[in-house]
Amino acid sequence: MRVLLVEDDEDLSGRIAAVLRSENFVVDIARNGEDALHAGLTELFDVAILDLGLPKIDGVSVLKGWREGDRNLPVLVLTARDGWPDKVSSFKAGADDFLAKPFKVEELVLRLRALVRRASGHAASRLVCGALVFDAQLGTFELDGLPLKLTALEWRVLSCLMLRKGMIVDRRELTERVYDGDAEVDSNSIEVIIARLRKKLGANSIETVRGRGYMLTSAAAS
Amino acid sequence: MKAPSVKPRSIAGRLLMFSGIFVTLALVVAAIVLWLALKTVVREQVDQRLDIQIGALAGAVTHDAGGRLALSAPLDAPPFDRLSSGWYWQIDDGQQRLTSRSLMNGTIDAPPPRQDLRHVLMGMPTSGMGGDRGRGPLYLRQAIRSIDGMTLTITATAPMIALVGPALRALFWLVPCMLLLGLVLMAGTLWQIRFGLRPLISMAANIDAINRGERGRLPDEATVELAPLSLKTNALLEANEERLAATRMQFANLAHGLKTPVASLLLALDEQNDPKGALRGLAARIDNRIKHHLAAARRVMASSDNVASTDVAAAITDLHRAIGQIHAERKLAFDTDISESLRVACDESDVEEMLGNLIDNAFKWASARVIVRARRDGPIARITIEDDGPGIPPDRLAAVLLPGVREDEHVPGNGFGLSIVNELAGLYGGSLVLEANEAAGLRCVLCLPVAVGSRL
Repeated sequence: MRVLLVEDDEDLSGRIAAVLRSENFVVDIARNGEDALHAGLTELFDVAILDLGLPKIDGVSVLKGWREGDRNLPVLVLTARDGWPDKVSSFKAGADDFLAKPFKVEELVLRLRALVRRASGHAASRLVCGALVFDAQLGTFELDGLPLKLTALEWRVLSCLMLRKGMIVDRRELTERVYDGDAEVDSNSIEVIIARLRKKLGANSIETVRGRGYMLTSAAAS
Repeated sequence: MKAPSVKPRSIAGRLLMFSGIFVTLALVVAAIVLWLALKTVVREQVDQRLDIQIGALAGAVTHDAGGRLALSAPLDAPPFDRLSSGWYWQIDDGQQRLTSRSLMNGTIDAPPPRQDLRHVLMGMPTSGMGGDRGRGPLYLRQAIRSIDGMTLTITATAPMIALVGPALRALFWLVPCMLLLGLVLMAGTLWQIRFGLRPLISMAANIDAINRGERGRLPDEATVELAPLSLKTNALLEANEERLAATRMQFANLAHGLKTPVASLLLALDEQNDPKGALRGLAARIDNRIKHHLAAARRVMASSDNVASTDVAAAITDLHRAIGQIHAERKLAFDTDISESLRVACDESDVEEMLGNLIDNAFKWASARVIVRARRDGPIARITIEDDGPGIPPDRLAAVLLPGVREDEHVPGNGFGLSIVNELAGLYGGSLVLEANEAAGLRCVLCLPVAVGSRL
């Protein structure tokens, strides 16, 4: 899951990014409104964390800019302005959730996962695909009732496929959602990860749709 | 004890009072002047008539062969022929007198005629007062003539009524005319006040509308006298708003500037570097202090703001959009029963703060349903927020309204929500009452003053 973190405070954004990365999120950081607006409009993100008090362009205007540019990625507003008038204006501008500073990092992670899950159209927090179960709230996978151990990259790929189970996920899109914007990406690396996942879930669990991408099927089994 | 003041309170009243006094005085003076002029005219007419009679008598009187006074022609033409009418004449030569028939052989008692220069030179008769043997006062004209070598005193009289009567009859018309004129003048004054004071009245109405929050500024003033007042008032309103906005912005920046490092600090502290949680406790205390003082600043600004008017239904719709998203995972039913067009006399952001805290609280605790009702109850808008959660034990209801008290440490919240609502409501002259719901859960009753412009 790829997160756009918009926060001008260097220390805080670094700490949030570290926590999110440890929870398997891919994190891109924008330090002002201008960069945030541009990144949100040109790149693919599963969710955005947006501070309201930003240099250059304020947070509410960034949010409006995204929505006017038909970007409907879920946005969590994270701000020190915790009055209800600020909350109301944020939601009016198109925010999906709101968290006031200071916050508990566990809550931030839970809310981000819930936003991504709801944005993918899943109302329940437990997603089931054959023998594979994904708890979108806790971010854990189970296979046949047993915890499934995954590396960070594997988790990112599988969670992305799981949220779009039964649908083809474009290869380029998968790459964007799995790697940081500035990471050096080997064109074969996604295929390597898919191969490793097939080993863990079963050969037929992930279908390759030639020229388009991958699809998680309900054939996953031990 | 102070004597009751008769000074009218309103400008219109003062104008009316002064013009009333002025009109009355002017009419009284005019009436007196007219009355005097009228009397002079009537007297001159009577004088003329009497002088003609005196002239005729002087021309007709002779001494006959026996040395007795006689008239060469009868001169008892009307009104000198009416008996005892007061219209008399008399010719006196010192020994004998000749009188009009109307005097019926009586005598006119007259003081000796005055002999001033005018009368001597021009032979004009003199005026005076006399009587006819106690039958009432007479107005008389006297002339002294020398006829046949004898000095004669010729007197002609008129009754007093002949002097006063025509003037009184004129007064019969004069008084109603004066009253009518006075009424017309007062009506004119009223009309003048009504139209002349119209700009002032409309300015007062506009200021009233600003107080009710129905308009922001006074309109451009067309009257020269009021234009500076209107300009200055608008400038003051603007300065006040700008100062409030700047203060709000400063507080928002302050909040941002303080809370971001606190958030960083809380993220930096974990089980390794703060095993007992003491530092995290301190950071949380800093956060609570910031919240407390920001809430205090908000209260100060709420009390310095102009009286505003906020649509309750619209505010609740906006809040539900936000709170419904924040608690999207809870999948709670949200029912409303809100009187349309109900407006409260509170600043919009304060209404959002109060209702936001209460509705958010209800969403946190409800198990299936949150109900919000709002209706007008006389001058008060009664807004009820109900949830079907666990509620609060009756003995704790008062305590949760105190700052910093949190009913359950496990549910996220700062413990300031209900106390902020309580204090904000109090600032607007409203109240917050917590009650146990009949079935289950908590019922918060928020009472706020209704905005003046609110219908229903």
